[in-house]
Amino acid sequence: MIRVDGMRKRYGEQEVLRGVSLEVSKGELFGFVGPNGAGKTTFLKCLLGIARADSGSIVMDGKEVQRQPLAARRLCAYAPSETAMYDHLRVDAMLRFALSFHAKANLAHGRELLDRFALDRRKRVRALSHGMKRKLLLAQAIASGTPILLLDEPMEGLDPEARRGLEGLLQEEAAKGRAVFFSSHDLASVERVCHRVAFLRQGELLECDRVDTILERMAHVLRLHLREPMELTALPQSPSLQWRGAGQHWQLRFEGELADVLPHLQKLPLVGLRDASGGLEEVFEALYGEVSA
Amino acid sequence: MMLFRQYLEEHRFLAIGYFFLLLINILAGTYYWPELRDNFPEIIKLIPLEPLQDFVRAFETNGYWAYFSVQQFFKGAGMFGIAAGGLIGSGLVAREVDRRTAELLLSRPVSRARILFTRWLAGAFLLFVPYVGVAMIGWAIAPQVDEDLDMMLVLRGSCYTFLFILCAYTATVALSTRFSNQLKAGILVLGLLLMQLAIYMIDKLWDYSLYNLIDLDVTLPMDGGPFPWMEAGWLSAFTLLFYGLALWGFRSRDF
Repeated sequence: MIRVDGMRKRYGEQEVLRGVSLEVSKGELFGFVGPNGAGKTTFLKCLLGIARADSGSIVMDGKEVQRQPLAARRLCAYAPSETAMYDHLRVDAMLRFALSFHAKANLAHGRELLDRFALDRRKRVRALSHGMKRKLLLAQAIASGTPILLLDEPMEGLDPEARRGLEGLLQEEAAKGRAVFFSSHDLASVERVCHRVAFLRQGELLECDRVDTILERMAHVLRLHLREPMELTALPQSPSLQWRGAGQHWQLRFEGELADVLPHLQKLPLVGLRDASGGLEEVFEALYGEVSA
Repeated sequence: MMLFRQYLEEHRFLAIGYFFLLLINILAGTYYWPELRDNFPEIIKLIPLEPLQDFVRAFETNGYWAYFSVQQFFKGAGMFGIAAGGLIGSGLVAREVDRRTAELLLSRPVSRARILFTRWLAGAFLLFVPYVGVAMIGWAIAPQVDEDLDMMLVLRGSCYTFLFILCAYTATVALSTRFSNQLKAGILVLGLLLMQLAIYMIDKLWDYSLYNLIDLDVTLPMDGGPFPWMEAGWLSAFTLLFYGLALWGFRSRDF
């Protein structure tokens, strides 16, 4: 459904995307993760032709975005991370406006979603809270009837209950055969609903794989807190052990069984030892270090 | 159609304000006419600026058409029309960026050329209807001050001077496609036009002012004379040029 190959984008001196390549299939829920400023929104803008990629190819269901931007956009519905809308419109009018451009949009479905989100359709957009606006944006995207859903930070501003509801909704849409691509800081949600996930850092893809595969791979990671700073050379070395970190904080990726690793650690001045294979939060920490999501 | 309607709705209060300003201008002007008509020499003495004195002398010589032209075409188009054009045009793209709705709009399956044209057309409509509507009101109330205007002449004058508003409006739209702040684009165009108006008020410099395009030298001869095709042609050509720049600016911009 979505095929991106070597996408690069530069704003002045700053290279925002550095050869990003990924694919999203029909019926797939794809999570796009990265810290602020990693290039997630720019990537989405390039997919839609709102910003132009400097190089690389972007193909949406056979339509190349650079050559046929309109045809490609007809396949996509988008909910931006910015919740700004036309404040003077009422919720229902805003929904009608957003859907009026999509040939296969279903206004009744959109209204049904607004009801499901407990949004008063007669209210002016300006009277909505941030979370309510987010729901309106999501409703218009979902009701657009396009085969591809592009959502930028869809969970942001939603309360936990609404997040759960949205997760279910996205799973329903994917089950109907839609490709759902969303960027998020909510790693728990990504882990719960996504089939695959990509991690972006400073415009580069660090990881892109099935969620379960990544979790499996990360199941062999320990985080160590030492009483005193140590150099890498002073740490136990073995072909099955890989160290990352510095000073008192180290991350150990190992192959084989945990029982075989523990004897190596006995001589270290350990203050803390933690299994880092908990979930995507741990993967994120491992990939980004101290950078917070 | 939705884009057109949305732009109309968003600027409806501005258009209503523009209509009332024009209306007040024409009503005040029309009902002041009998007093002016009867006291030309005294009133001319009270006016400090020579270009303005020339206006009043032209009223004395050429009658109500000259006076109406200045009220509706020079003041109405040159001041209120330009101000409204600046406010409506400057928001066409820059406002979307400013309030962060550009992403939402540009992610719709509609080309930028269509967005620009539809919105430009909606803005032009908002500028045209009040302007011509008020000119018609001016024509309709002229008999109340014992004057008579030819309706076709008023319409021709309105259409011609509207080209001046349209040109300034399109120039603002062109700036709007490159700016991220509506105020900056609007202030730039309004500042330039105010400067043009100031130049018009200065003896020897006034030949260089764009306001020559809508002053009495152009509008007076329309009464019984030909339509100012050459001036209209220049205004249309510049409108097209600014529209081309707007299209280029909008299409080549990353949001």
